[in-house]
Amino acid sequence: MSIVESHLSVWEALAGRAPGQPIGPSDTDVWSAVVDRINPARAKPEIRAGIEVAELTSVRGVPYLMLRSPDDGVSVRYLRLSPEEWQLAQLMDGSRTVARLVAEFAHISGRLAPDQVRRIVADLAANHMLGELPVDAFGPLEKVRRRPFPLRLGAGLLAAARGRRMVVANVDPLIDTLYRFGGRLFFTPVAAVLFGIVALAGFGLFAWTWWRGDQSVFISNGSFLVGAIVLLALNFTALAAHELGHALAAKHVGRRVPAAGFLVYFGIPSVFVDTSDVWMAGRRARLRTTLAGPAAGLVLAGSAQIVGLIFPAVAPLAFKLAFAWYLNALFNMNPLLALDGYYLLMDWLEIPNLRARGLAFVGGRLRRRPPRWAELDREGRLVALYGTLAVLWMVVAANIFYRVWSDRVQGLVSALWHGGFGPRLLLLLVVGGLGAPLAYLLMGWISRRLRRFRTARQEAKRAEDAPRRLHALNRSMLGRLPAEVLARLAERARWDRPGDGRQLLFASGAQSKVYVVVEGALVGRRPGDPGGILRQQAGPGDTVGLDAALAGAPSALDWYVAGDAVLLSVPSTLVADVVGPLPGPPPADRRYAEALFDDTPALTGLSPEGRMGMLAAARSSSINPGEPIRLDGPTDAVIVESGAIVLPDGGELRRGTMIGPVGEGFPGAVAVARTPVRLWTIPAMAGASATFAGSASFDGTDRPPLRPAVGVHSGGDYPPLAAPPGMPPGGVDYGLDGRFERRLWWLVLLLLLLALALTAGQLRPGPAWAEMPSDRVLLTAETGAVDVTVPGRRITLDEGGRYQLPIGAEITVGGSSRASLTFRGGAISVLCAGSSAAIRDLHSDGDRVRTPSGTLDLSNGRILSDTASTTGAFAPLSLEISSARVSITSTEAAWYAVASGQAVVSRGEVRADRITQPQTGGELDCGDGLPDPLPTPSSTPSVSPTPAVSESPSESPSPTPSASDSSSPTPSTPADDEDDDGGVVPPPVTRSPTPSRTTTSPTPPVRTTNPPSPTPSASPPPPTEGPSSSPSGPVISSGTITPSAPVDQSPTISSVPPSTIIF
Amino acid sequence: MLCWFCAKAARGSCKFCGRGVCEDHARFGPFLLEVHRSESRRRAEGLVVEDAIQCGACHPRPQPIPMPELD
Repeated sequence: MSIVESHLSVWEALAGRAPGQPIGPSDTDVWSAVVDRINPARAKPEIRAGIEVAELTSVRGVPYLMLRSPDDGVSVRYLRLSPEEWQLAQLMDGSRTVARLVAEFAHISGRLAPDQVRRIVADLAANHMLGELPVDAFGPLEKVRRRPFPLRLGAGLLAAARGRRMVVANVDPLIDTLYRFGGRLFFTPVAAVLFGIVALAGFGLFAWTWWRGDQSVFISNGSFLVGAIVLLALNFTALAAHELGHALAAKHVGRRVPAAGFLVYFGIPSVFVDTSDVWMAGRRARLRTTLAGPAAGLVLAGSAQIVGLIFPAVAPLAFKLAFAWYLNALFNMNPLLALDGYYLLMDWLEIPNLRARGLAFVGGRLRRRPPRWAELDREGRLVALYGTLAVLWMVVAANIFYRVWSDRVQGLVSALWHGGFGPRLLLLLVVGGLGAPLAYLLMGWISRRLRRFRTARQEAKRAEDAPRRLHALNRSMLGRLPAEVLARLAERARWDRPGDGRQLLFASGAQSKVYVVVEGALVGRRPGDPGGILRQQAGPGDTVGLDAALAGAPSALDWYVAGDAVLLSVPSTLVADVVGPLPGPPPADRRYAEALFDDTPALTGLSPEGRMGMLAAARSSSINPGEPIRLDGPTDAVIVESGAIVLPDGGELRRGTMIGPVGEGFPGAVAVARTPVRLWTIPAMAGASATFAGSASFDGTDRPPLRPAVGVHSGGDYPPLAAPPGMPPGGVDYGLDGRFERRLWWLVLLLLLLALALTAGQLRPGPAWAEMPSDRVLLTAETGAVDVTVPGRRITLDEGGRYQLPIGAEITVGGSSRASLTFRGGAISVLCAGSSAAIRDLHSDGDRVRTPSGTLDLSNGRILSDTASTTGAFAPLSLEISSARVSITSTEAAWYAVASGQAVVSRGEVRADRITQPQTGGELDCGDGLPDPLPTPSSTPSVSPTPAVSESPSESPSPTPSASDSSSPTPSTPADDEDDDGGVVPPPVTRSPTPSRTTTSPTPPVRTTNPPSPTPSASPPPPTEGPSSSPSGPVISSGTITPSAPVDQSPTISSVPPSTIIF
Repeated sequence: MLCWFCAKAARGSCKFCGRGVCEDHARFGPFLLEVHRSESRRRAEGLVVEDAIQCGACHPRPQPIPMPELD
């Protein structure tokens, strides 16, 4: 295969004319014009008027310029250049060829850097900063062949689901007005202090309200459906306020907010504002703008809570709004996602691709992949600490989500799951909405894995895939190798898709592969360089490790993956074998040339591949004294290896000095040899791509695939941190990374403590009634199955099952089961085995302190009720239990048992048909022989023993000696069950004298200290633990309950299990 | 189709004349896909395939020839 040298006209080539033969006037035809137009070296770029330039300085003291393309209706682009590069860009007036610009850049920077000049031109072109704007000429063809409407609609919806921006509008005037008329006051120091106080106080209020459980998240006006709609609307409001915070901050730093609109944001309908313009304002402005979004959310959430405290009427709405804002802030500050938290840290540290590298480090260590911590340099440690922060944040987020789940969503589930199709659908929608970001990420991950799997399967068919590999090699700088060599390389080449941020090659380490970049990019940095400094970047068509493979030397740089890279890896040994000796001068001369290149300051900026290309094209010559030194072409340069030459102005040059290139024309004689001189002539435009081009006819013209199409920095990059690759500039602050590292350690420590505190906090269950309408009561099947009949349906709750019962529900507790009813505020009634009851009425009154009330019909069995509320937000439950035509009521905190129209009151005022019942202070229990008469704390977190338990005569080994006394079952016989009041069997219910509950006590001490007790018959009480041993008196209360339970559950004293639990 | 030069199996055909060429005898150069006049930029411009296959044996004339018969 041969290539038509495009520095000749096509016609000339087609006519078989020898290269270099002069072209006659008649040959200035259309084909030579075409060749000339598409020759990048002969292109004459012209920079556009109206480019805005901001001179900025990085946090490490490196000056740079941020360019903003003219705003001409197309999307605005931004580009970061070094001062030298901007100086060169200003020379692009349409009169200088790229070759001339290489010469100009050599004069500006003192370095020969053809690849860098090409990159600058490509970057400017790709970012709409050159006169010749990129146009997709073939794009309209797609519009000609319109796809069917369903396909277009489906593609549109898919794109929207993937985050395509919709309904974009120019909101700059609106934001500007908002800023001028009040918004600017938000950015004063006084406002900052005030906002800080409001945010902190509001957060405290929110946490307090959360624990009290008097406000629900998912219920509005007693309806879950309305609650879901309201929450969705409030979430949208929260997101809008978040974005408004960003927008006002951008205005505050004097930048524009050109666009705003809607988009689906991690699966959630959301809004956006475009604050990219803040890139023109520097690091502090970027930090401030990024921080403004979450800060606005926190301040507004705090304000909402304070307003809710002052005006109870709006407290429910304020609580929901605050919840949405806090959730939004938590989500946005997640360093795992490319959101505000990530950008804050990235802008603070000014290290690009921080997230991908940090996560790649953590993932690599989990797989025991290098590098280890001890092998990291300072920047590597910053990256690793970021990865650690992300992991800790995950722990914090998981804790918070579990808290939301256990405190709120579980209540929602218990309310809606048994409610039929409609409520279940609503439940799925709500849970789906909450979990949308996770589902979105999961689907994205699965989709990527499937795509990769399919690709890997195709690539595993080596023979079928061979043309693809050959094509990829052909389009790289190896493409100039002979076809048979390429075929051998393609045969052994393997596709490689390393994850973003992964370290692929290690400096000074053994290098077994040469990588050809097919898609994405690799970036190289030297260990020890300051953070954010890249030495090299390899884009599509470039190779990494070629010089090391051919020279047998280790890699000089650490190489990382940047973006979703697709690489083709070829064994280094194979490359060295098939490529053979390095192209260029013979080995002896090559050593001289290499030494000379090292001594030439103008060549120090070359990349290894660029240097190799330059060496391959270099040729030496000897000049006698007095002979002229000529430059044969505009892109040629000469370097003095030995001797001395004299310039026309009398200046004398010696070893290591370079003359040229001049860029245009034929300069001819440029100096005269004063002594015998040995020179090296190099084509200054050669660069890396000249490595295998040979030196005879190369004049800087590239094959098309090697010309950078979009430059190094595509529009998707983060321009402020896309520092041009190169040597660390002078004046860079090397000590800053140390200070960053220390602060990051503190941040890690704080987050670790927060994660530990939150994890420990999970032991404290929250209010189970928080997501329960006022006309519901939470039924929990504590032991065994419980049958429930709600109007129209019959449901069986298995053990542990929960259901928010409506008014009218009827409960039937089996002979070996037990259930509990948790009322709003935490009051609880235990339905003992064999009980049947119906819910007759439920409601709550009051604003600041709610008074829950309920009415139950007990048709059979026994109910134990503790009407004390566990939170100050609720007054004690006002409970009326109708049993055997007797109305037993309590309006304040009381602890009593009801069975067959009779009440045994341990504490509190309880009336039976308006007659106050005596308080015994005794213990109460179901006496049904079940091992644990108390609801488990997890299922009914509102019921829990308090420190008072330790004072009770419980069996738990509490510090008080009395605790052990009650641990023994009362050694009563059935005969003892009849008391003096007429044969009433005292209920074998135990009760602490001072029952009090909190929502926070995790585990009843009696549970932790008592193993499951055997049934009463299985473990008769030891005679040594008779009632006389109880210092608190007999546990049998003096109530007048007549047992109505079945015989096997009769509350006889003898049936009290040894593990009688104390409330 | 066989290569015009060596009679091996051809891998492509010349964009200008249609001669078949094998991998060894294929040459590449620009080909004007379309020439049009841009109203926005007020100039004639062309869409170019930079590396179209050329056999090197044919001689597309560089200059237009008059065709008065078609006028």
